[in-house]
Amino acid sequence: MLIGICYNMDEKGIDMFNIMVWCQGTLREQVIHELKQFDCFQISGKRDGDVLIIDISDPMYSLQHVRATLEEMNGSAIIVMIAKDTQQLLEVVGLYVYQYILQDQLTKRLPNCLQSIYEYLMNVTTICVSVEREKQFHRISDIWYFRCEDTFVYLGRKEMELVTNLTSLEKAKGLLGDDFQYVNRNVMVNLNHITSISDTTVTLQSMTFPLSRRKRQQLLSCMKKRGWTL
Amino acid sequence: MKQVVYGNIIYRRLVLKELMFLSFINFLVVNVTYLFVSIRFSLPLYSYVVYLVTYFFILFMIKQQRASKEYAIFDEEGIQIYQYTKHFYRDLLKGRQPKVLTFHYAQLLECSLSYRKANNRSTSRYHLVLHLMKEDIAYDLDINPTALSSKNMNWLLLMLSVKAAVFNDTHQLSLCLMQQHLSLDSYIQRQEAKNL
Repeated sequence: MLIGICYNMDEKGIDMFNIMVWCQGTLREQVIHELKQFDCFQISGKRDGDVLIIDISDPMYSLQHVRATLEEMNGSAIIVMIAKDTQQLLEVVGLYVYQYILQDQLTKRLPNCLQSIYEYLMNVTTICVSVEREKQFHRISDIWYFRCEDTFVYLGRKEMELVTNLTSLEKAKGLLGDDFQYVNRNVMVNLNHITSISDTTVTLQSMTFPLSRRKRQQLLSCMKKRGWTL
Repeated sequence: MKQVVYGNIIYRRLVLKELMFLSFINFLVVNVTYLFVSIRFSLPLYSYVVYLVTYFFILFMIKQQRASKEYAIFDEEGIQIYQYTKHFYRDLLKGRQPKVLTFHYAQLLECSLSYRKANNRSTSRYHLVLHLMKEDIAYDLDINPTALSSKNMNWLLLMLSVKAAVFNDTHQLSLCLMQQHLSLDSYIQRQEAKNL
């Protein structure tokens, strides 16, 4: 019996990180010049980017104008602020600003700052597992499931399965976020890839895993929070 | 001036009050235990005295060892670390002042944020380690991330990144604490998996 239907599956993939540059004139040119050294960042005009570089000394982007917008972005985008002096920077307490850079230190500090942001975003979106003594980075959104069999932990993607160096599913769970849940003691699935849940099975597009009675309630409550109609 | 206190500020009066209360409870425990034992066995009076003294001696030694003997105050000018010696109760009874280490942000030659595995009694799996160094002294401040509110933690990171002459955060822990995309434990585990 089919008891759940997915209508809100997240298929968004992250190949490059979007960066918003809110400054003008020579400062903007300098920032864009520094950004060209990183292949992973693309400049975005929209307001849903991963990183925001803003010059609060510019009257167009002064705190009075953009404070409400920054508060909306607070926590979702990584904010890097540029200003003429430290006094302006100290007025922004309450916002999760990653780095405060003075205009005269821009060329010195911005490359390191961007490198740190890149490493952080990579760490947030991917995990590293050793497959046949080789390190491989896998995007978490692309992983479908982790399966444990005979003390080996297998990583499952759309059309392939890899043996990892992990020794238990608990260790894999430590690396992953809240998107992964156990469906039985040997299988952990990515909730974003579940297509249907029945009384005894969970289906991930082309694969089916048995659903244990103990994990069922837990899984259903997680899916309910994600907008599933049960 | 805004201040963030990491740890509990040690007030002599409060600690002594707490010790008095603890002594009272434990005195009752000793008496009741002795009463039950003396019903079964006929014991001389000095055994009660020996039991009482030993019990209290061990209790205070354990309590003294476990008590937190330092706290740090972060403000807009620098970091003050107050340290008591390991003979904590003796210092308090004699009214000795704690040793104060002051690190002004402008004087810092090195300031870096890293992590270490916490002990089993901690509420967090990993603790942050703030390595501070000035001309004559270096100090590693251990910070339990769950002991500070996110607002205070952000303020502290802001102060370090704006005011410290050099601030190294090689593992991008400050980003992780600010953005809260995933928990600090998961973040560090991913870092470690990468370095294996």
